[in-house]
Amino acid sequence: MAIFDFDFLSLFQLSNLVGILVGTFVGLLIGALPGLGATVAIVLLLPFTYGMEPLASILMLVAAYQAAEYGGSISSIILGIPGTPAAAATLLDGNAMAKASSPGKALAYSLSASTFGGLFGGLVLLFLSVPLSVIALRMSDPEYFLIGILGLIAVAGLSSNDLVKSMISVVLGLMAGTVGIDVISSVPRYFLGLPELLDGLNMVAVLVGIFAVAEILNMVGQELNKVYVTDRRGLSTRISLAELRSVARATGIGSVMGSVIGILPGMGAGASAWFSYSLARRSSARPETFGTGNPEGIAAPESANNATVGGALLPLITLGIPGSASTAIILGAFIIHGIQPGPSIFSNEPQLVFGIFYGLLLATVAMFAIGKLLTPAFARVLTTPNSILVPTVLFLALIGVYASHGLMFDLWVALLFGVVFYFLGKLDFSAPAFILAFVLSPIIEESLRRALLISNGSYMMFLTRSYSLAILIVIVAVMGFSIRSVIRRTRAERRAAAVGQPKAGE
Amino acid sequence: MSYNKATLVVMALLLVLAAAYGWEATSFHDMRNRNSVGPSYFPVALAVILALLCIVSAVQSLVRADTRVELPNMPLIAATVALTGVFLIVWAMLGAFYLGGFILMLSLIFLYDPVFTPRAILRNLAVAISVILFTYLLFGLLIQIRF
Repeated sequence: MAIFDFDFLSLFQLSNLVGILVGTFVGLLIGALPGLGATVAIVLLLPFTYGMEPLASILMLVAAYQAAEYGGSISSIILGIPGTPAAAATLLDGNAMAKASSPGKALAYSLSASTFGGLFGGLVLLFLSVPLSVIALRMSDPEYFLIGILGLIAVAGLSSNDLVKSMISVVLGLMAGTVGIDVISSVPRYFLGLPELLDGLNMVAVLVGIFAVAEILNMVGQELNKVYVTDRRGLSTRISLAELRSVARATGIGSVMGSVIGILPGMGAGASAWFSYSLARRSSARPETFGTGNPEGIAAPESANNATVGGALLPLITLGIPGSASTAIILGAFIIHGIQPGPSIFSNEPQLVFGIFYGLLLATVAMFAIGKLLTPAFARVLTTPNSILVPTVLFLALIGVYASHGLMFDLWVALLFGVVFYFLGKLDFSAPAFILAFVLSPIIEESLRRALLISNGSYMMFLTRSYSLAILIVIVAVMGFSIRSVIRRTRAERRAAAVGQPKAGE
Repeated sequence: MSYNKATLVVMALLLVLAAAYGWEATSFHDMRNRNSVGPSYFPVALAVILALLCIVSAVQSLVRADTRVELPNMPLIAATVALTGVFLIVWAMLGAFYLGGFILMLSLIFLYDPVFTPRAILRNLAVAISVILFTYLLFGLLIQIRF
């Protein structure tokens, strides 16, 4: 099916439109709240996808992902507190502009750049997915195993300060993924005599536990009764064509960088926002004004973090391999509906795939419309103190887990994982690495075992197949890069410690 | 709490987990297909890798400069987990989901913000009732989930 053969009317079915609107609303709301990012927004919506049609459910999650990336800029600009890690770069110029002149104007730059970035990322996804899937069709089990490992190594290398603990998180995630009946041999594994575990750990319970419950406990550990004050005046997000033209270059830089970085596993919206901010500043005619409310400093990171969404969906849909926690959760929605993303999805489910691609563009337009209408209202929501927010989010998260399978057992699993990962997070274990490994575990294990069965247990096929060899070289390069970064950081820490330490006798 | 000591404790626990996980894996046998890449192959490999990584991390924590792990508001965190656990037990044993949910909401709000002026009490009651009402309308009536 060619990309323009899609039945566009099917996209405008009520269920799809409701999915997009609900996803956009929840994404904007959760993204705007400091401390709760796109991942939490997607996790909270995931349980409700059980009762929905596949396209509507995935569009809801994709819309939430897209909207949360813009939503994060609302608190960055108005409060000076990033709503999402990716919105931290927006804070520098966004908050400065809000204080100096108008928060509405800063939000307008953010919204328009986010929309442009989102559309650009969506088009990259639309036009690159088919060529990439053609390449992916030539790959087989050894390559899928290695791509999964590549994703895990990249995420482990970038998602925590402690590389070894990130790798331990990966192994723990892979171990959690082995619970339940083995697909190849039908042997039940690690089910502890509990019938609830025969189908494996409930993905929704684990995801909600790690990303919602652990995050809630983190919020309890912070100041609970801080009341943020926002002024509802000056929040109109009007922007003129001349103002848009003034940030066109920065928006372009952010859109291209965001799309490219989104494709790379482990990098994500935060990295793309900072890279784009830095590049926009270096190439600006007025670099000295960055940090003082320069609109280019808002447009570059905001277009980048939204362009990342389309880029990040590319490896998920064409290869079936997510590169971040957010896309791993979206993979969960595919699995819930019995659909395995990958190159064959283009021939098996063309309406679904192209529905997602065009739906992402529609969701970006919805984000612009709802953002334009409701940004002042979302700014008002920021005044809700955590003492009210925490119980509400906790209660809704528990309901979401129960709604997925109707099992009390899953609620205990969510609570257990939440508490465990609250403490492990304090010791620099990586939640994104664990989740990605947990979701990828069945793919990695099955690919490895099938590959070894075909080769009679010989590992040489990883070296003799050209695609495998190429991926292996990339894995070695990524590992080398990660180890080099660790060595550099350790040396820098030692130097800093030596400078700070008083000499003997002093 | 010492970061390095906490790391050592966690690594010791994970080593026990790796041993138990690996030991259990040796009992998995595919009766139909007796080859080397059976259901125990991947878990055994994971157990070995986990054990090795735990040893590396433990050694790192022995030679690294120590820092403190901050766990602020620990009593509140413990109370949050305990109240959630009590709510789940009450829900499972008595089936009183909406009442239990209302009490959980109200208890947590007062726990986090212990102000008992008439205005604060009214506000907190309104929030708890609104959340429960929203839950009933959306999940109970619209989605028809039986709690």
